[in-house]
Amino acid sequence: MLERRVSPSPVFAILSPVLAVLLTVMAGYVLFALMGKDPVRAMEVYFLSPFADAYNRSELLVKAIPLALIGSGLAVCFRAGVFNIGAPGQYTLGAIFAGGVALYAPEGSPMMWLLPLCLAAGVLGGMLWGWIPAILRLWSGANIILVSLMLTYVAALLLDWLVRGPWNDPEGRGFPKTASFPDGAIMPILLPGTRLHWGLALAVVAALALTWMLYRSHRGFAIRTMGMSPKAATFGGFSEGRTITAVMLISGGLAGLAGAVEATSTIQQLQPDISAGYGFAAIIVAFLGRLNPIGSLIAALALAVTYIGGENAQIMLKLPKNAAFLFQGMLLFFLLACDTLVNYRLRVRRRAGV
Amino acid sequence: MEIENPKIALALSYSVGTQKRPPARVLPPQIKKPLLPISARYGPAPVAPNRVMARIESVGQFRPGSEPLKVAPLPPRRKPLPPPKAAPPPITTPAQVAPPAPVTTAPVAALRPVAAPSVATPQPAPVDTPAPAPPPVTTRAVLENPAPPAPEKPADPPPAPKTPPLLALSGIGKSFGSVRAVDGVSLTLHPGEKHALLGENGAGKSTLVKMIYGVLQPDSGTITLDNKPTRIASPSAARARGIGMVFQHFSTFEALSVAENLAIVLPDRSLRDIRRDVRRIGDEYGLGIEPDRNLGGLSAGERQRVEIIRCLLQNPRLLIMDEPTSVLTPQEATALFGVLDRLAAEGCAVLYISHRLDEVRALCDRATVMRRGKVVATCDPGEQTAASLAEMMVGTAVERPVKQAAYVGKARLEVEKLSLSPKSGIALKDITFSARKGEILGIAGVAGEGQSELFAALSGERSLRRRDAIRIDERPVGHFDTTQRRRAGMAFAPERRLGHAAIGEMRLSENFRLTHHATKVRRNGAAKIREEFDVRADGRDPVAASLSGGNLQKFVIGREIVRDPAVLIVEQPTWGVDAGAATVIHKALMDLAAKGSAIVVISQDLDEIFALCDRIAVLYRGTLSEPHVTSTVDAEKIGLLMGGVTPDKDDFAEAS
Repeated sequence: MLERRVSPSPVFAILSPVLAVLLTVMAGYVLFALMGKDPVRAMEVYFLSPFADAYNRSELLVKAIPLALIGSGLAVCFRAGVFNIGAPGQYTLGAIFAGGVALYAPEGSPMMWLLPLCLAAGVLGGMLWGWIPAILRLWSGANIILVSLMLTYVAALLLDWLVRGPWNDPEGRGFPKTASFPDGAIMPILLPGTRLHWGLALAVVAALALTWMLYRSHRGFAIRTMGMSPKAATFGGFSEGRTITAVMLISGGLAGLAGAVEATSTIQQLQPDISAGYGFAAIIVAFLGRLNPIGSLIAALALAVTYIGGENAQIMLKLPKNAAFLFQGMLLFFLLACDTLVNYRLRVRRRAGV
Repeated sequence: MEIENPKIALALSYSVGTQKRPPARVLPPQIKKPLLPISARYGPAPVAPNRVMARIESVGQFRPGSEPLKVAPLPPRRKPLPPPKAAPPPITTPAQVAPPAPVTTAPVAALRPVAAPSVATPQPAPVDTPAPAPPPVTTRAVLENPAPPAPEKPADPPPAPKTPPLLALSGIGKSFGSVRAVDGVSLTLHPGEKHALLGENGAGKSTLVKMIYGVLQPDSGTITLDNKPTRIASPSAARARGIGMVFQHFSTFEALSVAENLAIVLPDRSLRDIRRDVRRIGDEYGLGIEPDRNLGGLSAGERQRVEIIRCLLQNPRLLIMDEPTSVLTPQEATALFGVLDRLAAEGCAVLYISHRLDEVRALCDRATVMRRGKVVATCDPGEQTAASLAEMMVGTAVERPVKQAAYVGKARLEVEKLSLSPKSGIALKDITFSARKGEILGIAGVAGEGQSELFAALSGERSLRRRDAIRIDERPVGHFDTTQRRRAGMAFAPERRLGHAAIGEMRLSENFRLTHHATKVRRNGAAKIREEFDVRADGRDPVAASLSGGNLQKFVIGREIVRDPAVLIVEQPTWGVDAGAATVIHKALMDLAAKGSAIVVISQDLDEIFALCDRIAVLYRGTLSEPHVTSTVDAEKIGLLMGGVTPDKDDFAEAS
């Protein structure tokens, strides 16, 4: 039976994600065995092949970059008890804004400024999409979870319309895509010979900056206070509205930055599908990283493994690509289950005889 | 006089005496119960009001009020001792040693016919066993009666020959993690006994009764019910065996009627039967409640009646009451005591948990005092003073601060026509008062009359538009938010410690920052508060949740006092806090007032209000009465106001 702990266990707060990963691997083993695949081989492809060679390792980091950017922003947001589920929409808006700048920057403008401008526009787009649920919440008490989630679909349809309509590449033979971005709007490569780009540095800097903000700054104190007890935060003099707005702008802006980074690095154009589910996977990243921006960096790597492993499994084992999402789902499931142990301890029930 | 409001009617009926008591109510005889002396907790009040006055009234000339009686140590009534097999009570009390005076026993016996029969032979005094800090009572008792130190155990007469214990606990223990919440507790309850369970917060009282009621299972020890070892697996098992419990907070559905609420917990009875039984029990015990009324419209006192009726419907043999009077006006509490007396007279045992020592002294036949999970004393509370009981609970002598006459200066806080719309709560209507330099203003009222709304409006958690609704030293601050009000010299300490005043997961230093971030933050502020206000906690900077209620409250109050505020607003400063911490807090508040601050104490605890405050106003349904100078009113007057009755001007003239 479960028994409440006197105080939350710091050991299990760290141990819980590790335990969850182990349980996910075990469940995957059973699952592949049931599907008639060789489970040992499948596990190898899934969890070891992403680390096998330089190419796979660099790809791992490429996938981890957007996950880390969005995840660290969400970590801050969730810390305040504000559940922004609309990161995919904010990501999409970031990509749209960045793409707009890249495609329609006036000819002859200094190339040096184009990329930073694209990224800044992306941040702005994400912030805009994050600000809408916040402002609706403050004006009318609308539910942030629902509004942000629904805006995701608005963003996706907006992108779809743009790439098929006004922004369609005139030389694209009707394919739903924009023209390729000019060179000045392309993220430089960090490691020659791979696709690993400077977005990695952005992700690391963002995580460090957010960690500092959360634990050292006044605003961070307000955010943590509100997450633990909104009533106490109000009593402390922190405005609920201001905190909600701040965290929605932060997480929206980072999701927008992730969208801009993806659009300017790996995709280099706009197309209807630009995200591979990063926005939702980042929710897992945030929780797996213990709602800590630096923890999100590590968790983003773990999630990236399921992406790369999934792709490899698709190629080598002919497994459906959706198996990757299955692993992500299981990971979140086990993580939430294991988190019970932070506040409760297991105790073997004895018959309380007389 | 036709009054529709049931609460008013109730308050009126008890005070004016027009309550139509059901004719069936024979026991106890129609004694006009005097109100408890307010000074009982703080002043010298060596009287068990209930009994003493009953006794004196039979002689025919006593009016409660004016002066605390100087009564010689009460002639003790004899009580059954805990059976010898139980752990020896470490403290000897006069009850156990002094022989009874025959003259006075008679009326008491008449009052309580079912009380356990007297024990003929004097009980041997268990030789002073080592107790952490034996109260002075012990020495006196021993001096008075140098009892034979080594009586032969076998010669002991059975403690209660006619009534075998209904319930006996022996060596009960329960741990939570490394915390030993209850440690080897032994306790016996006889039919018809009103037994108090006393102890500071965290002494293990609640844990113990939860084990009796089947909510928790003991780790060790045995529970014996009707002389048979028993395991009480769940609350429903407890109810099936005749154990009922009235919780401090009622778990009820506001949208349903009284009868429907009861039907939920009594699934095997039809609604019609329940309706009939509610009326019957209501008549029988004077617990009149219309079964078809919606629970949402009932006052706390009426809801408690519903809970008691719920227990009575199950024919309990043991009724456990957890802090029952915290939600009642004095008049309602007096009525409750009548019901409990009546139940006990019918043979039901009552286990009564309370912090209010005067109540326990008035009501209970026996008291078990717990400290840190252990039983430290068993005594007859009627023979103790509030001071000696408090001492047993705390383990050291409790010093009582006495409020010095206020130096009353200019108004530092002025509240004028403050109104607040009802946002899921009570609306505040035109609240006007002022608190002057050096003054402690008390705002009394039973729970849920707008206290938390008033606190939120004063603290700025609920925003006001009118600048002039609140003025600090003549400066309008009504439009300020919480932070700006703090900068203007206000300080606040809300009722709820965790989740409002402080955050459980945060360290004390961070909790210090919570209210000090806007003003200059002192280095080591938290550590200084711990030192200055005797906040006991483990570790250098522990999380707030690890502190006991009393220590956290000292921290929360201390945190605001160290900012030397012009105006301090505190809500329920000693709610659920042990006597030791309450003393520290009261003293700190008085010292602050003496230094020239104005203090507003919003409290439901009348003892506290009377002990602390220079003037008292009463909050009732969102309106505030005129403040009355404390020395010109008594608990009865304030109680009437708490029930929504505005007494005539003449009454006050008479009182003053």
